[in-house]
Amino acid sequence: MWTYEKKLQFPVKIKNPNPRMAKLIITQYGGPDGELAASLRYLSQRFSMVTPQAIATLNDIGTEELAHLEIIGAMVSQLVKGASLEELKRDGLDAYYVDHDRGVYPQSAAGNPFTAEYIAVKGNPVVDLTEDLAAEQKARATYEWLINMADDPDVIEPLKFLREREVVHYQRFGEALRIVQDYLQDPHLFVIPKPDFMK
Amino acid sequence: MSEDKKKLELLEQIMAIDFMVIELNLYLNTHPMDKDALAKHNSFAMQSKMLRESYERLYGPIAQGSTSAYPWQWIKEPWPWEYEANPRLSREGK
Amino acid sequence: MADDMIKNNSYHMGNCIPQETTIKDVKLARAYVPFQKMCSIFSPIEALKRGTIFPELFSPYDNKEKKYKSSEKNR
Repeated sequence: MWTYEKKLQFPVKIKNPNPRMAKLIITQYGGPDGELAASLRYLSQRFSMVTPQAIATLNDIGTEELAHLEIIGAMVSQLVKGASLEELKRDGLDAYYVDHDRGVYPQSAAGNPFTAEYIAVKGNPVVDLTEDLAAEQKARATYEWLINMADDPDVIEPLKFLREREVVHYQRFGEALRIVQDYLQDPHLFVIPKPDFMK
Repeated sequence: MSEDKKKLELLEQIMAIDFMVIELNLYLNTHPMDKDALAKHNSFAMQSKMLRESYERLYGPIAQGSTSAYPWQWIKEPWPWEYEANPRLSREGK
Repeated sequence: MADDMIKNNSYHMGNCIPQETTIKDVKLARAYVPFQKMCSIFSPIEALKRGTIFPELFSPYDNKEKKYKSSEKNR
C-alpha cells in the first residue's frame, strides 16, 4: 500500500509563469508517454510478473513514477499560477482554461484526455518488460523535446532530473528482463541468481 | 524568514539522502547480493531517519503516521507542490 | 548518449569496472542489457542534481538539437 510524504522527490521552484510551457509539460502528466501512464502500467503489470527481482522492480519504479507525476503536476500548477487571462489566451491555453481554469487535468499536449489505451498489460513477463523498456525510451525522448522547448533554468532543472531517471529505469528494466529470461530458461535452478560478475 | 530558510535547508538534505536510499533500493532489487550496496543503503536509511526526526520535531509530520502537536499539523501549508515549500538546490560545483 | 556514458565510465575506483563487459550464452531473438555493477557513487546533493547516484549511468543532455536547429536548413 502507499503512504504519502510531504515533500517532492525533486524541488520545483518556478518563479515566472509560462502557460506555453505548461501546455507542453502537461503531456508528461496525462499523455501517452507520461508519468501517469508509466505508474499505471508498472503497478498493473506487477501482478502477473515473475521472479522477486522483477516484481520488486515494477513495484518500486511504479511507485517512483507517482512521485514524478506529482512533480509534473507541481510544474504545470506553478507555470499557470499568476498568469493573466491574456497570457493564457496568447499561449493557447484559453480552451483549457474554459474547461479547467488553472487546474491540472490529465491530458496530452494536444489536448487528448488520458486513456488506458496508452498502456499494455499483456500478462507475459517478457512482453511486459519489453514494453517497459520502450516506455522508458519514449519518456526520455519526450523530456528531451521538452527541454529543447524550454529556456527557464527553473523549468529545465526538474526536466533534466526526470529525463535522467528514465535512463536509470531503462537499465533496471533491462536487468529485470535478463533475470526473467534466465528464470524462464531454467526455473529449477533458480533461487536468487548469482552470476559471476555479481560476486 | 530565517526559520523558513533553515526549514528548507533541512528539507533539501532529506531530499538528497532519500534520493540515495531510493536509488540504492532500485539497484538492490536487481543486485540483491551486493553487500557494499546494501551497507550503503542501510547507512543512508539511518541518516534519513535521523534527519526526519529533527525535521519533525521542529516543523511537524513529514510522513503519514508520525505524531503531531496540537492542533493537527499535517494539514499545514504550504503543500509540497507550492513554490514556497521547495528549496532552491545549492549550486555547489556541477 | 552512448558516447557520454562511455566517457563517464572512466570515473571508476582502481580496477572497478561498473558493468559486465561480456555476456555469456547469448541467444537469438532476445534483448540483452548488460548488468551494471556499483563502483563509486556521487555525494547526495550532487546525485540529486544529476538524477542518479551512479557516474556510469549519468547521461548529460545539453540541448544539442537546439544548437544545431538553424544550420539544418542549409543542407
